[in-house]
Amino acid sequence: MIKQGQSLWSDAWRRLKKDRIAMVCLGLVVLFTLLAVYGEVVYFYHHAKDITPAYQKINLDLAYQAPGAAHWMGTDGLGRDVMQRLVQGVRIAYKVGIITSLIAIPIGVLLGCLAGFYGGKVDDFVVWLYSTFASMPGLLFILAIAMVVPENGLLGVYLGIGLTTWVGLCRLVRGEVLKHKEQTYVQAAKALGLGSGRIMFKHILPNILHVIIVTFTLRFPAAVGTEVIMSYLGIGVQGEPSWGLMIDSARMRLWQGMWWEMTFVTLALFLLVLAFNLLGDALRDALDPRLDD
Amino acid sequence: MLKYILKRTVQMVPTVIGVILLTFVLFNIVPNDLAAIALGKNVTLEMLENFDQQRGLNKPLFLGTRAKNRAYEDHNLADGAGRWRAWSNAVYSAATATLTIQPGAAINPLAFPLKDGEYEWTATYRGQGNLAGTELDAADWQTEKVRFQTMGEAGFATAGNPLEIKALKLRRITTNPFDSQLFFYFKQLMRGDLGFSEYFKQPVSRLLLDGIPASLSLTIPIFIIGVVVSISLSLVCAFFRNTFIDRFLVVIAVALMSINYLIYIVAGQYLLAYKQGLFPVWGYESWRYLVLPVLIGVVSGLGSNIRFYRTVMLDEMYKEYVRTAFAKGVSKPRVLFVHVLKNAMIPIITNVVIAIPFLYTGSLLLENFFGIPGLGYLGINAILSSDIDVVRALVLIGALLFVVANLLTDICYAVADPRVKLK
Amino acid sequence: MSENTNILEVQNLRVHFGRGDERVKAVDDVSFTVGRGETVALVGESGSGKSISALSITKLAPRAARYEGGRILFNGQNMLDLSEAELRSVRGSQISYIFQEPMVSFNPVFTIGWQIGEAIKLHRKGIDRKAETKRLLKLVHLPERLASAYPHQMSGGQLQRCMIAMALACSPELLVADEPTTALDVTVQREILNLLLELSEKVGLSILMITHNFGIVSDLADRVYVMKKGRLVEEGTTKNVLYNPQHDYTKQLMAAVPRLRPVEQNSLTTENTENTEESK
Repeated sequence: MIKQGQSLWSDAWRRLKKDRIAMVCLGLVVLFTLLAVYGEVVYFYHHAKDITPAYQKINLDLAYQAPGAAHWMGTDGLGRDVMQRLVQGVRIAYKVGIITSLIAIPIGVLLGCLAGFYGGKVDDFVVWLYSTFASMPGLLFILAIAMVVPENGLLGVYLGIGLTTWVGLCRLVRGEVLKHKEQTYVQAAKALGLGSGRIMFKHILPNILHVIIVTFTLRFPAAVGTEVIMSYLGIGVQGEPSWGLMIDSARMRLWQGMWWEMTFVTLALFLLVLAFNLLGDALRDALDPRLDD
Repeated sequence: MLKYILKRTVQMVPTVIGVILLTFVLFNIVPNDLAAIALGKNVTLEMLENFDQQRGLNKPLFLGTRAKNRAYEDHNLADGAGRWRAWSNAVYSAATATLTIQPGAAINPLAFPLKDGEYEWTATYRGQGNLAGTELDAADWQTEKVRFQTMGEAGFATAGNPLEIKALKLRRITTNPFDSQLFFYFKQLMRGDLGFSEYFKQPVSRLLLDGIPASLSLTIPIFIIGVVVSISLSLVCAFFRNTFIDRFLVVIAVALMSINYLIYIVAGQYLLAYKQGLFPVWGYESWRYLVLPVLIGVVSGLGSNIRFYRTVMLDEMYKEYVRTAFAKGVSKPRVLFVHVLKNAMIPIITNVVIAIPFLYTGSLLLENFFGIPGLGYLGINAILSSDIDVVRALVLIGALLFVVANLLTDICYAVADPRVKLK
Repeated sequence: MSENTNILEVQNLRVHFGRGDERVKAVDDVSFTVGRGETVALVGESGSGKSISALSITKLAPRAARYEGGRILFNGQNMLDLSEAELRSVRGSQISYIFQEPMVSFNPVFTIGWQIGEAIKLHRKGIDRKAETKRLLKLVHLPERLASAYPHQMSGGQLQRCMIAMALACSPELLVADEPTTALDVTVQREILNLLLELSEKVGLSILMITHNFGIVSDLADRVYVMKKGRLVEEGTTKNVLYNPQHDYTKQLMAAVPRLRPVEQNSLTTENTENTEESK
């Protein structure tokens, strides 16, 4: 089993390498990840030492400066460097993407596996559950969750996005498990007397890993996009420069002729989402065990 | 066919129940204090209680005969004196977490007069005194339940000796154990009562009805134009499969998908309305005001639709019957527009019908940014002002519409695909 | 000029896929002929290039195929020179195809009658399609009412008959059959083959049969061509090739057919009516 898994990955990597666009996207994703990590370090450092970080320092003298030598992407209305705030935005975007996935993936995978493997009433229950969640009107539901969750701030955002994302993954996983359940290697494992849990986790799970990875890659940008909308509306993150907040403050200034903040934030958001989307597509093709070269 | 429809309708029921339960969980179980969320900070306890009363929030969740009341909210004395600080002759001791009511005191701890009914104090006390007409006398800690009616005394009175309190709880006694929040909610829905908007001071159903026309005027054009354009472009992709045109359109589609909705709106408003002056920026005066939001709505959805429809078409084009058609001498356009399209329409119909519920939620963002007084505008407003009933109603209706749309999809499927067995 | 009795002459056909390192010579310098009224078999294992050869006759090979050389003469005219529009008028009317899996070769959302009718409409104007469809269904021994049935409502054998009916809609001169019985049950195979035999005699149809089944070859074909990896390795009359295979590959192919009894010369002749059902 393990050998088979390894050759699937090296196969997939080989295919992925051939796709130039995918490689570019991978590079972008790596770049963004590094920026996020850097941003986290900066945040942590300042937080631990209780200093106001540079990107929060208000300096009205420097306000509304066009991109130039000192500030590559200009400054915003409060004199803060746009580029530094942009990097912090990457950090927040990553936090959202990762934490919502940490919520959605375990739920989706667990329920999907249980449903596919045990079938019967368990399956009926899981299908009922995800059908119910799937019926909820997307953004509104997420906003509602954020509204009623006791603590204000990002927890509501995380829960809202996480609790709506698990549905798609659960469906996929359930489908894959159902497919694999009928395959001979599972029959063989059963014939050898292996317990259900063992079969499920050691044998089937590695074979559905590709579904999980592709879903993560494709849901990540969706989560980021949703959070941007939410923080734009004023829900969730306060104080920290989420891209949504930056778009909000940049909007009015745009109309006054100050184009740089809006432009760079838009570009950054677009590139992040595009890179993940394209990479996700390429991964899906590369990891599909059925596609012949 | 009728039996098929009936069968599918019956299958809808568990999901409908699930949806209602989920909204119940979200709005009744999850929040600590819904009234506080909805009404904010600067309100009296009585106003909160009225809010609760109106929505049945002071009842037990599922089952029971005891309901809470804000006249005396549950308070753990270990956390501090709470409201008892207001009375000088009730001495609080942090060390022992007890309250001592001095001799010769008369204290009514209720924040406001209670409505008619039967109530019950549960007190853990030591000492002597009178609570709501019942004599309390215990040398050592004792817990007692004291019932009383709203007429007459409801508070404490002490004579010569002090009365120590370690725990105190107020409950209203309900006669019907099934008079719970869940039941209340179901009854509400049966009546068609969707709640009351604190912001607009109107019944929610009225607000919804008012908002529907505006939303539809926005979303129906988006839907129709979007579907027509998407299918056409995907047909182009399929026809020129794998040539430059196809690949170009795919890249465009992915790019369109990756642009955040906000950006479409901001850019649209700025570039086309403000800078070019082609359209009005905000408002709902005439059909002109709809053009820009409709345009944005269509373009923003194009990306994912084109990709999906194109995939469907291409999947069909690789099927055997296409080869047979070519072998018969059918021309490429005819193969595509007659043979492939009819098959491709089946999954496409699913995709299209499922989008119908979104017609109703309007686009939350589009309406908000362009000032179109539809359900989306209502929704965002409700979220931002914590107008709970409106949010809940919108979520509920949206979900129910989705369930109905699924049913319609199944029916369309059965009509369009001769292979579906109508069992 | 003497009349050319060959309805189809494929000369030195080359069909390739891919370029450079990845070039695959699916059909590599292959030549064969089909005479008027003849049934010719093209035999080989999967990957031998027999299907591509057959599809190439009217340029029906997959899009990625490149016709690198040779000529395909149909009634003296080189098909490879024809425009797409001209090819379309030949397909279905002068040269028809039937394919391997009838269950998926029909469009699932149209009735059989509609699909047969389409074949008629494309090439023969002004005909009463309904009546003609009925006639065609009768020709393949199917009840008329099946015209309003959908493909999924019929069995494999019935569908294959429909495919034959559809192929004959415009009285083609050449029928190309790409493994028409491979996907069918054994008893049904026999029925279809009998039908083909009957029709070829009745209508004077020339048939190019693609198959890997020597039983079919011995029953139907007048002449045989054996292909391996894109090349022709043997050709001749059925009798000669089956009794006296020259090439090693042909011998291997024939030896690979499982039989209950050892091969006897007589058991393979078409004249022998005691045709062994068991040995198939």
